[in-house]
Amino acid sequence: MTWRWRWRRLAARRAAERDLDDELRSHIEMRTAELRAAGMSEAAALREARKRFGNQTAIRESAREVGVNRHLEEFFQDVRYACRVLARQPGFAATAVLTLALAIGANGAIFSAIHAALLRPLPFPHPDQLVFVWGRDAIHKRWSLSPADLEDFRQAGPFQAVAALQGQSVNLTGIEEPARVVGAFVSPEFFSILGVQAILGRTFAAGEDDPGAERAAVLGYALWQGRFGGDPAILGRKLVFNGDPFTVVGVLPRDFSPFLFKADVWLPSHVYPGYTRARGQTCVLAIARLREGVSQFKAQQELNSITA
Amino acid sequence: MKSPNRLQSTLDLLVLRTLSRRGPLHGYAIVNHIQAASGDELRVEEGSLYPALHRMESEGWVDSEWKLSATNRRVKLYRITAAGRKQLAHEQESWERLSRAVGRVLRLA
Repeated sequence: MTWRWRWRRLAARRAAERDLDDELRSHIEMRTAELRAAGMSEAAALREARKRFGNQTAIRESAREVGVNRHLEEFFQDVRYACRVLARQPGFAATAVLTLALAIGANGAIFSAIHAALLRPLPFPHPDQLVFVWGRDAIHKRWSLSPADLEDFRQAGPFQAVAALQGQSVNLTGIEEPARVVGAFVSPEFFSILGVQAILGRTFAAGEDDPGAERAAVLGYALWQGRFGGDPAILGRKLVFNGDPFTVVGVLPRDFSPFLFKADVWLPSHVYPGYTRARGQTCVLAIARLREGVSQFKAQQELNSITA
Repeated sequence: MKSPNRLQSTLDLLVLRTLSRRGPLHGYAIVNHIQAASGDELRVEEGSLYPALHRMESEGWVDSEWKLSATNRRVKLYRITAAGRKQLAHEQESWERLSRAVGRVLRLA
């Protein structure tokens, strides 16, 4: 009963989102066509058509941002649950699917993010090359992957780079007021895939996610400001996360919240609690950048041949 | 009767009036119509139109249907309902009352 009801509600919400997406897209197309007819270039017309949606959209977006962050956290929670409980059979990633990162696949409930993407492209270079890579089996249409799956895609895939993303709160201790903060666990490529640079220091270097490497941390802007008064001397300082010391190597820009996910601290993948490379344990969200000139369709075909 | 804020109910009034005059229209046509009918004075912000349409649909003042347009485009058409016409009469009356009152103050003050 409850299940059926939840499913129905989810289905209705998804349908409503699709409906609104279609409607907004149709509106933007008509406006673009009109502006084109008036002599504007395709790109300028599209920009103008989007711009006319105005600040209202930005306001709605920011009002919902908190909610969106929560949804992505819920997604990570589901993933953790699956890692602990389901102990999936090996060979899970029988096929892999690509979705444009634009369309945020993590959760159907991420409502405003879809509209934000539709009305305003992702604030990253060449957003059309950004994709999520999902595992798929008979039950799950889109599910997370294991670090070993990502290795396969790095070897042979149609990608420039593939990065892992996981989220879980972490304990920050060894300072005056210990805190539980939002942690993100990523492979070093994550930042270069998004084309994001630190405003202070640097992001992760290649190899910094090797278990042997010195433990490095990159701070989010809000944590840096809120806990450390924006002090530049934070660089090189050791902070204790989940009981282990990490050297702060950088601070990220204020507006950095990829896919509306805001983390306080960014740590290397391998320090994720319970990190494992076992193929049956699929705990990682994969984001990738397609090679120049490779379409999503072509990339999907290549992936099919790898994972078939 | 619900009384949302003035700005919101003015937008409702304009949209309902447009739909009652012109029959079923999609959002894009509603924006264009209001702009043209007001002699270019009123430009409905598109980012507020769709939330308003969806809100009015859940109030039961309009209903909607996907159709193919004359130019072969899939568009979502909105149509005013009987409840919407009632709401329109109410909004229009309250608007006229307000605008008469403002007019009186401007003349006399």
